[in-house]
Amino acid sequence: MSANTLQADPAGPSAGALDTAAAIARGDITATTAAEAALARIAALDPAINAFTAITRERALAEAAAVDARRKRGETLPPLAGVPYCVKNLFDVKGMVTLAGSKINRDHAPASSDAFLVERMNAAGAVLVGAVNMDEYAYGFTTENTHYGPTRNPHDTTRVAGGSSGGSAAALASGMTPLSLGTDTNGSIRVPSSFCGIFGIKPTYGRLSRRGAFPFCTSLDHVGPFARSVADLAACYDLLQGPDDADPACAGRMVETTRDQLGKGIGDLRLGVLGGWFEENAHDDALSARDTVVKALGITRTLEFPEVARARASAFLITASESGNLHFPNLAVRPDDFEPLIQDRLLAGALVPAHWLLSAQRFRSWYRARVLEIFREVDVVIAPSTPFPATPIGTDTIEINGREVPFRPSVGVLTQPVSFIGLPVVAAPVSRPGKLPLGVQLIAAPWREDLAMRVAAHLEAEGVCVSTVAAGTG
Amino acid sequence: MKTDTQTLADLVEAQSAAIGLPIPHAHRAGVLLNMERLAQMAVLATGFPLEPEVEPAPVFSHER
Repeated sequence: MSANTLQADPAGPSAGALDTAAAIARGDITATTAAEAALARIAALDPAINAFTAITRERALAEAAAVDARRKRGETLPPLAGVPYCVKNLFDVKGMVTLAGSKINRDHAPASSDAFLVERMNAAGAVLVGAVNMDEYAYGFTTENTHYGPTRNPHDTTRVAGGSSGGSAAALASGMTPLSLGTDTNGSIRVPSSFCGIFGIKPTYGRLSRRGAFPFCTSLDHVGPFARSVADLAACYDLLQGPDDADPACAGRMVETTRDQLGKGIGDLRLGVLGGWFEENAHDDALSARDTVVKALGITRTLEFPEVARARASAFLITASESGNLHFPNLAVRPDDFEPLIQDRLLAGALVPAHWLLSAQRFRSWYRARVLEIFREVDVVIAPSTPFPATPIGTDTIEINGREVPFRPSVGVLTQPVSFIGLPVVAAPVSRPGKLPLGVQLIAAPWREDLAMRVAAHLEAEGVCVSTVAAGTG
Repeated sequence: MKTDTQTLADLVEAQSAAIGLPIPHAHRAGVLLNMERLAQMAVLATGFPLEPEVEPAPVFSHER
């Protein structure tokens, strides 16, 4: 059981996923009780947070009843049986329109089947309670959504929850559910993890199937879960794995579990901290949070990725161009139906010359090769997830590295150069009692999510990285 | 590579016509601002000499 939920009511807001599943398996509570409790918490808390865009009450209670019936029949329950969860509203949920944070998608037909990850959660016995808010078409880092309203940070509701998976993060940080699913193209799991103080994982590009997740920039799109403990995160991530030919980028690797690796410690791991860009573009409080982790891990080695400014710029161009191309048909006839914050970004992106885009994609190959050389000498490197903690809703500009820059596109300056080459990252919240949450990226070589998870587990056990439900919400 | 406002405004005009993406008048200033930002990124992305053997990252493959 995770340390911070040891005594938690298994149907309460602080209950971890595995704790809830264990309580249901033992018969301490029913899955129906857990589902109803989650639905009641959502009803009570969400008006102030605005994480949810749809509640799947009927489905949740049916799934919970099915778990209870299986237990009554004496069946062995699957690992997440009865655990409530929610999904970013770009994941297909059978029978629901996949909004992807947009107004335009309201016109679409309902999804005919669940997304791959939702199918996996269902197979694990988890109970879907709803779909949650996001930046439109995932093109944002703050979940300030004009159509559906901003999702508020449970730690300070005047501030953003981060994005684009803001609803997914806020639902956990407020105790509404213990698990959620999100996506990350340039930082959309890591940023809200940092702003909301929860764990998340952006796996290796191609690890988890994106089937049924509405795309943003397919060169860079990843999917992954959020949780409030490393054990929960690892358990959920393990269950989401599996080959899927329907996603062209899914590598089809066999399942490589991480939950059974968590107790191995860090003694044999080569660890480092990223300097250069990842220090120059972070505010003092983000560096201080990072340094807490560096000290706890006994890291003495600083490394630098080469040409990081160029990497970030290339990721920016690829994102702009691919998303502009993806949305071209609607941009050509109904540009004003898009989120006002991204209309002009999408239009400009669609005009990007081929030379710019192809240069960025070629540079990506060069950068990957150089960074992988670094990973021959180190196992996990640390960097802040965000340059600063959550800002007030409506912030337009911010100072980074001595320059006043547009705030919204700049939140991901520390995440973008990492996801650019699909490295796996566990986003871990640094314990900062009395202060706004801030997180760090635990970055590993491709396919070594297990190493990043081990570092996260160690930090959690030491009390350095801890996720707790925001005060006043649980 | 020229990234002055006039060059980029001409790019927006020509490109939007060439690809059939009208830029409504109300969006022109915002699109130009974003194009200026993208051009700054492009200076970085295009300004790094690469050997011919360095291929674009996405690879089309029949392997499945």
